[in-house]
Amino acid sequence: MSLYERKLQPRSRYRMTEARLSSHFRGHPDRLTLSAKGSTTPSHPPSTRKSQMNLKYFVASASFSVLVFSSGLALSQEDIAPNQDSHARRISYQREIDEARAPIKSESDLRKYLLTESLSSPLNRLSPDAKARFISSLIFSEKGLGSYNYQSLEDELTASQIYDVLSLFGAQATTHLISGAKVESKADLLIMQPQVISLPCEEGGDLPCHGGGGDTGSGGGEVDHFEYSCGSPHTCISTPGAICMHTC
Amino acid sequence: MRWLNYPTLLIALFWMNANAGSHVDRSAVDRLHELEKIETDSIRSQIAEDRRDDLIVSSYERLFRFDDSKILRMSVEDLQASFKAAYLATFFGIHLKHIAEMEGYLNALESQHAATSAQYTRMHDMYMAARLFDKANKLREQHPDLHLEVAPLIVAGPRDGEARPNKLGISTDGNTLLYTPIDTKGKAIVVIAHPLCHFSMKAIRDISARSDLSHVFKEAIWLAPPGSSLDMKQVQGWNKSYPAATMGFMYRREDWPMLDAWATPTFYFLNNGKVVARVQGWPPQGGYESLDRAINAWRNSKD
Repeated sequence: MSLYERKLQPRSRYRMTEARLSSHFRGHPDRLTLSAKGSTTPSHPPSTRKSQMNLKYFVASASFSVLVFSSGLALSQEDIAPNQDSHARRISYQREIDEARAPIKSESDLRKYLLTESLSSPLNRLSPDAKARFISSLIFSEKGLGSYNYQSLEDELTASQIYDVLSLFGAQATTHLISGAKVESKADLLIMQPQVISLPCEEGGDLPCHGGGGDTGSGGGEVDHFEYSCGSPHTCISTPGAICMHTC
Repeated sequence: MRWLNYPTLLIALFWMNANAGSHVDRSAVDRLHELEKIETDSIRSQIAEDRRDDLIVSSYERLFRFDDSKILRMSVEDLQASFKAAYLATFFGIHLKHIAEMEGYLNALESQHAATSAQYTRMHDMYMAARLFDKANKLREQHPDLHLEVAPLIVAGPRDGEARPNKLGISTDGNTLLYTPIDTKGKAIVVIAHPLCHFSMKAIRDISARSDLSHVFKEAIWLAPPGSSLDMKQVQGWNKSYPAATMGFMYRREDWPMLDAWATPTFYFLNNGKVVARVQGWPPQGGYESLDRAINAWRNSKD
C-alpha cells in the first residue's frame, strides 16, 4: 500500500496499544535465539574423560532439542497471532519508550522546563497566546500526561512541529490523530500515517477490537480517546479539541 | 456624589460585567478567546457537567448574538471565530438552534470561499451528535475527500416530538440502529460507558469477572454517551466481547432527563425513573465500598 493510498484510509480517531512488556518476553523468539547461542557455545575446554564427554553431549543435545522445540512453539505462536497484534505490540513498546524518555511527566517537570526553556524549545514555535492555551490544557496523571488540547497546535503548527512539541511529553504517537495538522513535507506526511492502520475489528474478524476479555493480547483497553479529556475520578469527559491519553 | 454608595457600585459592576461581552466594538476573535477561557477554566475546575454545559452555552449566547442580517457583512476572521464559538456551544449543549447558527456561519464562509476542511468536519460531527443523520450523510457525500463517518439508518425511530428513554441497538452488519423505547418502571441500572475509555474497559472486565457484580449488572442498560462520533466498529467490538452487556446509543440526551453526567463510566441506579444513587469512575469514586453502598441503597429503595 503506498503512502498516498494509506492517506486515503478513513480517519482513525483512536490509538490502540497493547499488553505489558513482561508478558511479551515470555517465550519471545529473540530471547530463545540468545539462549541457543549461549548453550551451543562451549564455555569450558573439552574434557578427555569419556563419561564427561557423554554427559556434555547429552546435555548439549537435550538443550538443543528443547530449544528447537520451544523456538518452533514460539514461532508458531507468532504465526497464530495476527500480524495486527504484533504490529500493535511494537507500537505499544515504542510508546512506552517515548513516555519513559519524555522530559516532562508531571506539573513540576513542566514548571522546571518552562523556567529553563531555551528559545529553540518546540513550544516556542507557538504564538504566546496559543502556547498559554496549550499549556493550560495539560492534565497530568501519576503515569504522565493524561490529556491535552490539540487546537492551538492544529491551528499554528505543521505535523512535524506538533510531533516535536508532543515529544516533550512522550505523546508524539498521538500526532496523527490531529487530522487538521499542516502537511508540508515528507516527514509531515509520514507522521500523519495511522500506525495501526486497520484493527482486527475493522476487518470483521473474530478478534475483538481491544480488551476482549482481557486475555486476547490485543489491547486491554489502553487507548486514546479523541474529543475527551482526563476527568476525575477515573473518568473520561467529553471535551472538544482534547485527546484523553491511555495514561490518564 | 452621595448616590455613589457601595450597593450602587456593586450593581454598576454587575451590569458592566453582564454587558461586557455584548459590546459590538469587541472583535469576534476576542470574544472567542473569552469563551475558550471560560471553557478551559470550567474543565480544569471540574465543576459538575450539567453546570459546565449551562455555563458555556449561556456564555456563548451572551458573547455571540446571532444576527442573520449582519452575517454577510462579517469578515472571514469574524465568521471563523463565530463558527468556532457556535461549535463549542453545540458541543456542550447539542441544541438545534446552535446547529442552525453553525450552518449560517459556514454558509457565509462558503460564499467567501473560506470554508475549511476542519469546519466541514466539525459541522458533520455536530450533525452526528444531534442525530441529524440525513444532514451528516449529505455533507459526507459533498466532501468525500474528508472520509467522514457514515451515519447509520435508524429503524423504527421515534415519532415527532416523542421523547422517552430509549436505546439505539446496533444491527449485526452495523448499518442500522434499532430504536427501542426503555421502560424505566421499577428498578433499572444505566451505565454510560465507551469502548475507547480505558476506565470503562476496566469496569466491564472487572464486572464480567466478578460473579456478584455480573449478577447485579445482568439487566443493566449500557449506553455510549452522546457525542460527535459513533465509533461504531469499537462499539461492535465491545458487544462481541461482552454479549451480556451489549452497548448501544441514546437517540438524544434529552430523552434521558434523569441523567445529568456523561463522563465515562457513570453508573446510575434508578427506581421508577428516579436516580437513587450514582457512582462515577473505575475504580469507583470512593472505592468499591461506595459502589456496594449504592447497590444496597438501590436494592432497598421503595417503589
